[in-house]
Amino acid sequence: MTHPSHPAAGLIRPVRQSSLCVGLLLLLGALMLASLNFGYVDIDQSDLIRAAFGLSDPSTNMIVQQLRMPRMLLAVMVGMSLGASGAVLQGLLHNPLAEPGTLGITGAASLGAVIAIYFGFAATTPLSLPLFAMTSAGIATLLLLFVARDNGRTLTLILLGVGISGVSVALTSLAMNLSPNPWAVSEIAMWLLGSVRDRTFQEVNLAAPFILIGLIMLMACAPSLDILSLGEDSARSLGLRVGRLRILAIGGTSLAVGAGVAVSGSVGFVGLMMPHLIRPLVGHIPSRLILPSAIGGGALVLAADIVVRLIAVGPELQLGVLTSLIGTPFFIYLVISLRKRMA
Amino acid sequence: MRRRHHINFGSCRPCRFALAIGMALLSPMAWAPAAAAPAKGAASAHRPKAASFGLCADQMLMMLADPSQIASLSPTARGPLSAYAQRAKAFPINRGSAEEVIASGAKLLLQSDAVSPTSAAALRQFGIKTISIPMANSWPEIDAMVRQIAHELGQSARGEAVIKNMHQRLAQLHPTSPTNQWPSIIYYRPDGGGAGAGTFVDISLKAAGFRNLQSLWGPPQWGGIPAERVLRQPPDAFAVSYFDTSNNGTSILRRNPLLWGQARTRPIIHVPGKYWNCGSPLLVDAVELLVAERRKLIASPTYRASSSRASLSRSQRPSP
Repeated sequence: MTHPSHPAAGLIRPVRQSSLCVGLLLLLGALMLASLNFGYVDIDQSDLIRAAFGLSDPSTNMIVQQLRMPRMLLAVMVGMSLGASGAVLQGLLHNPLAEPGTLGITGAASLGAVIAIYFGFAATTPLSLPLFAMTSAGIATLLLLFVARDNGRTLTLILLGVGISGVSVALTSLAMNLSPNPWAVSEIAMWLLGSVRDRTFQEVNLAAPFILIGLIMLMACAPSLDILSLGEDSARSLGLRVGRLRILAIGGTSLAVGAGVAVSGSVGFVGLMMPHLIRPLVGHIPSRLILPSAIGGGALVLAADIVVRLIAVGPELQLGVLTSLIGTPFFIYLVISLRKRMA
Repeated sequence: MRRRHHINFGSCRPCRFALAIGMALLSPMAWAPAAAAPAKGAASAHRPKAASFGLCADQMLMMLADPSQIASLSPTARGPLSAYAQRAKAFPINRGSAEEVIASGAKLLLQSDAVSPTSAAALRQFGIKTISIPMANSWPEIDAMVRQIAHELGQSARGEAVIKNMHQRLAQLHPTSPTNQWPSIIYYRPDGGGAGAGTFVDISLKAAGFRNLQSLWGPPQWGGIPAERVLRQPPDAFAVSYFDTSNNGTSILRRNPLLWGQARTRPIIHVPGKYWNCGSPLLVDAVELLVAERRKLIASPTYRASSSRASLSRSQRPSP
């Protein structure tokens, strides 16, 4: 099994990983600064700078420091987890269509959130929402780990992910179906569409440790992924501990993505798009893909979150809607181009 | 799509910005819920300025607060389902974000319909009191809800006046005939749901002198009566509401030819969605409309003919 190459392979010359990362970081930094500018209240530049230091009037300080900053940080963290886990999962499963959504981790985390909303835990204790989502992502991960340890086939994992997603969707629909509260359905539906609006440092504090640990685990996958790209049997014969790699990849993904979904709902297709956009730039070497994909993912989600705030008419567009609008055509393009190359 | 701000970073600004972010993140203020910001144009200490998210909250705020207390309303306040659409034009409209509420200097947020639970949760952290309008599905619950919201707004006297007025009007509208002589009715929403026991629609139908068949037969709350049941025992009238604002309240009855066969020969009472979008004193408007329709129905020759025929079978309650 060879590593699937990008449709645009050979057209783009690889660049050095360090310069790529620096470039992406500059882009991310610019977007982070820009994102503080946009919101629902007009704050001029000088006031914005003062407010960032806590030197403006209390309400402006509060808006900039405690609403726009956590929102910006969450968008970046969520995007980084999605980008990094997409890159790792595509390498691990030799499947260009793999991403957290495919393995059912996003779906399971959303289910946890929906249970919290449905049973009213979210209304009484807001913190139960993220806790349920992470627990549920953890259960899905344990199931994946259990199968991954016993079964060497990567295809099994993808199929198991499809199964977990299916169960999650079914139970989510069941909760919406049985809901006695007529508003719960719209609350659940909105949650599933994903957003980082009006999050505070409470959410950042809750998600950040898990996302950080998850990202470190994902980065640790890098060297092994290169060996794995030679094929699973060759990798084993070269002494690669495939089980350890799987635990790192799946554990890292579920920590980072589970915590992200818990505070932002599901933001789809970032994990699919970012690695494909970066891959030709790093010469199709899996280990060099993870860090740039993470930074790029952060930039992509943040850019999307700026766009939803720029559309100043009507209710705010949900973040997940926008990423899916961009992501689904990309997904279809990928499927079609893969089919052509296989034929 | 319009850009709200012009981004103009000077040569040195990015570094100052980065520093600011770093400092802000390190400062304890950013990591702990802040104390309340001083009021910016608050109405007064005991009559706090308030904003609302959600239609029911908008209506209650306009009903009970002084105009100077209203910081902002949600866009639905001006929409076709709002009972006070015209009045709402005098007030600023928010897009349901925490930023707007903070900047407006509101001390209180009324919220309904679960529009922005996250925004409300964020505001609670910043010391802004957040009240969810409780779902009121009985007249005593509506009294309690009005009392609570009026108290929070420092308008208890106005709240009591509203409650008194509501009960006076209801008493005037209350039918004098015994319950078993009331015309029967089935209520449908465009999506096929109805209103059974434990809904504010049910109490409105009862207050207007209709026997709501769904509250007798089930299902309770917002499910709908299956068409089979309607064919077996058609009601004297149907009530429909349009919450899709397309004036297409009859769509559920039209979609099913069998249901339509029953409905086309009976009065269909259209109740505009703005009359009963939530359990509040505004329901009395719906009751008034229903009472007028009931009088027309009772006076009609077809109803008189059928009522003598049906009075026998009506005493036998259908098995649940």
